[in-house]
Amino acid sequence: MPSYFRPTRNVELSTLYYLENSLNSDWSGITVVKKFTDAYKEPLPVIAMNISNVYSHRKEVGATTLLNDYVLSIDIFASSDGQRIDLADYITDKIKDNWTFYTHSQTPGSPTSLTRVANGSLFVTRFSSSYKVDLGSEGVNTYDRFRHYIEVTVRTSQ
Amino acid sequence: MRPAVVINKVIVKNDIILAKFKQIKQKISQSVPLDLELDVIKERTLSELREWINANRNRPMGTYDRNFQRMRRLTSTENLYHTIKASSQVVLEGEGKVRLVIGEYSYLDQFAPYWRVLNDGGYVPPSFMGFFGDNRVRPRPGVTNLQTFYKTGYPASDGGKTWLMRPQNPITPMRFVSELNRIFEEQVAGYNFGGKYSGVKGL
Repeated sequence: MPSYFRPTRNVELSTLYYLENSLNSDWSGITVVKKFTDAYKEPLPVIAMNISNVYSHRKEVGATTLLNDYVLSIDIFASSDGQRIDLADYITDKIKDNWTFYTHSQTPGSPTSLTRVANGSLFVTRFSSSYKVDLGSEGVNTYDRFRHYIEVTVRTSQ
Repeated sequence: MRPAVVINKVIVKNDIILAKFKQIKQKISQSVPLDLELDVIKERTLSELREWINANRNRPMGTYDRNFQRMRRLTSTENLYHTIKASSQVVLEGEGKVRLVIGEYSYLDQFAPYWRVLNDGGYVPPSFMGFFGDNRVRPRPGVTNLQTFYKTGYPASDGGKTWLMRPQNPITPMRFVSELNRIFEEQVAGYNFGGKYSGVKGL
């Protein structure tokens, strides 16, 4: 019997899938990872994307269902300043549109393969920040030289 | 007919009381100066920020060891909070204008220069001689030790054992600036400044 993932994980994986597919079709040689520290293990350019926070509210007065706001953190590790700007611009342009929300499940015995079933869409409710990460110039790691950070809040369409 | 008159009288009286009560309430709210309200917002925001910073710390604060130079610049997140707190204030600018400042870049750059790394992550620190924790734990390859680490130099000034410490992973981001903005907006949302408030600008 397959095990189904919880909504937060589904939001993260759906966004990762969308960004990965978009970047693969429009760019070349860009790796997308989920964990921040994993970005430092892949060749540049790398994009690290994960959900850093979830804020829950009651959907309506008296309801037991929750309306969740997911905060997406997107770290861009580029190999030049121009590439940093282009990638930031591209990603912002991509996430301004809705993308598919998938419910993921895993079959016992094959943990690496995921089954996706489309279940609505995801949309940005707020573009919180987009800035160049400047850690100075002395002793800066190659990965930290051309970094950019984008933070958006997303919701599911249901 | 008599009871109806009584009821009418009661209703009239209640209306008067309610109107009076509204006047008193309005006077009370007007008598609380804006700078005091902003001070409450400041304190609440800082208190929540402190919780956030401590919840996201990677290492315990530990106790300061006088014999060795503790790597305070990378571990002391309480210092980060105190620096933000020290640079937060309610400024009376005259002509009824009040400004609320929560954290200043220049102050952070001076007293907590590592704040950008803690906020955005990155930077693998260089190797140094030292040990982990107060019980002098040696570093082991492939094992993540989350105790406070000490820099001793070689040989250690107390003659004790010291090892080569090689940080492997970059510092993970804390994103306290984003969180500060969110907390601040949440705090401000509960207040009505009579249209004087025009937006949020955090750190």
